[in-house]
Amino acid sequence: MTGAAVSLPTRRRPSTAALVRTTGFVAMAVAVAAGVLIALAGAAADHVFLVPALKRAFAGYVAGPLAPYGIVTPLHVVFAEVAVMTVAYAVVVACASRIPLWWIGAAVLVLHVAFLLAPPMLSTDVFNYIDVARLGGLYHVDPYVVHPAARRHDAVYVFVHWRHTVTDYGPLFTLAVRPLGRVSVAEALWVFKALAALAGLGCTALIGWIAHRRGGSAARAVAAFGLNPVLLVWTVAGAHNDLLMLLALLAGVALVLSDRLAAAGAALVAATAIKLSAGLVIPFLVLRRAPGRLRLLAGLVVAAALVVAISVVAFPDHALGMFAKLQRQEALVDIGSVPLGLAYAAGFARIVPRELQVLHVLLAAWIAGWLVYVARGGDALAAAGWALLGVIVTSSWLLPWYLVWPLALAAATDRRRLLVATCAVGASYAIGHAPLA
Amino acid sequence: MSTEFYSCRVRRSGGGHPPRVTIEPVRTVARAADLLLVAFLVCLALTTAAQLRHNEAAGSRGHAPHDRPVSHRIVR
Repeated sequence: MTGAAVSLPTRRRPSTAALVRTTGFVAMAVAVAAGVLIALAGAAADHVFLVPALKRAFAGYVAGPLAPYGIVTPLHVVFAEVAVMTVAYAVVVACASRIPLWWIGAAVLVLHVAFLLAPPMLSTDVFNYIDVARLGGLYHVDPYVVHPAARRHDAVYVFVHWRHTVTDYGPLFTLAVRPLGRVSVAEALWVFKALAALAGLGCTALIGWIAHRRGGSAARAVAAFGLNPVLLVWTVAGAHNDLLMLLALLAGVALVLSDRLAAAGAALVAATAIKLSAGLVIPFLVLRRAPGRLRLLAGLVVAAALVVAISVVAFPDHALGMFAKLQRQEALVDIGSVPLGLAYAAGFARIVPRELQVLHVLLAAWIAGWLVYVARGGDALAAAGWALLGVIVTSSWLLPWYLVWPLALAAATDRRRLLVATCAVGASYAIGHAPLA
Repeated sequence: MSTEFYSCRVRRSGGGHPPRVTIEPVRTVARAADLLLVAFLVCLALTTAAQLRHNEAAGSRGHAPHDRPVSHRIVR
């Protein structure tokens, strides 16, 4: 009898790539689930901390379309969800190169929709935007001169936090929102929410394109920006106009990479005319070692002249009012700012203007160093990202949505250290602002 | 993802043999950048801890973050 050879089927160990892909998918699912739970916790609208607009009055339209599905959640559980979302985000970014781009894009889209439909969370700034729109579009007064308290009877006033300060946003933003002054507060609120979500998606797409154009991983870039908790929970949910500024800025960067430099100059000036912070990126792009510098400068100069001319016509009383407001803002000290934390660590009860001036000198040296780096052939976008992070870290007025500025450049340039440093500052803010039990 | 810089080393050989050329990564700048990042993270952790201690000491009535109940005033 002939013995037949029997071979047992060998179990093949999953490859490392498959393990990484599976881990990434699981982490992405966890991040999406945590994000949706956070949005639903906000929609329950039972915490002034989560929805600060409800401190003085309650309106059904502020709670939003997710209100019937809101999940009443203790604040410490919400913060745990943010922590879980952050860890899952880090895992997704680490594994992103093995995950198909369209899966990451789908996760980004789901989370943007969730936070679009959630109430304005963790900030009341959107109501200041509505007030600016109504001051200009409804009452035909100059928001750089007239503050919200001058129109106490207005329907939006009850939700406004900054009642005795004039606007510090750029003239392009202040002019562009005027039409929203003629609609109801509810309609204006949800238009601003939609604009922020669309801008967030647009920024994510541009970041992926820029990363791919530079030879990096579009999937990792999209994950690093589009799934970031600071972007989603604070910036998209809060409908911050930083996303509108960033959209114009990233469009300018994309145009630079496409060698359409005059148009790039116009886009960069538009970004600066929405919010002044974008202007910090311009010198880095001008100094970069690449042909066409004159065309970029020409675009910048022409666009800047146009913006100044429009501002003088539209705001004859105070066309450059935002600069005065920004000077006053620098005197403010936020409880989550790094300088104040340093003061506490050194045993001081507060930080004084003289100490802030020291930080400003250090910041100037930091920015100058990165400009020299670019002039000698370094990566202009990465350098601009580090400069923006330096501005945020040394500012006494730290607000988490400012972190999307360096986050965008960290994601687009695939700079691990810049991404880690930016996310760490975000975590520090979140921990420092966790409410007492 | 970290940036690495490369240097070219030329080792002379005796006996008329051609010199050996090797290209090796120089990680000095990358290591310094990593050290700076770690130092920054440590400083950030210390400031965050100080902030938390201050919040606890300030209490719910002091200059520290705390929650409040939603308003009962309804507007339309």
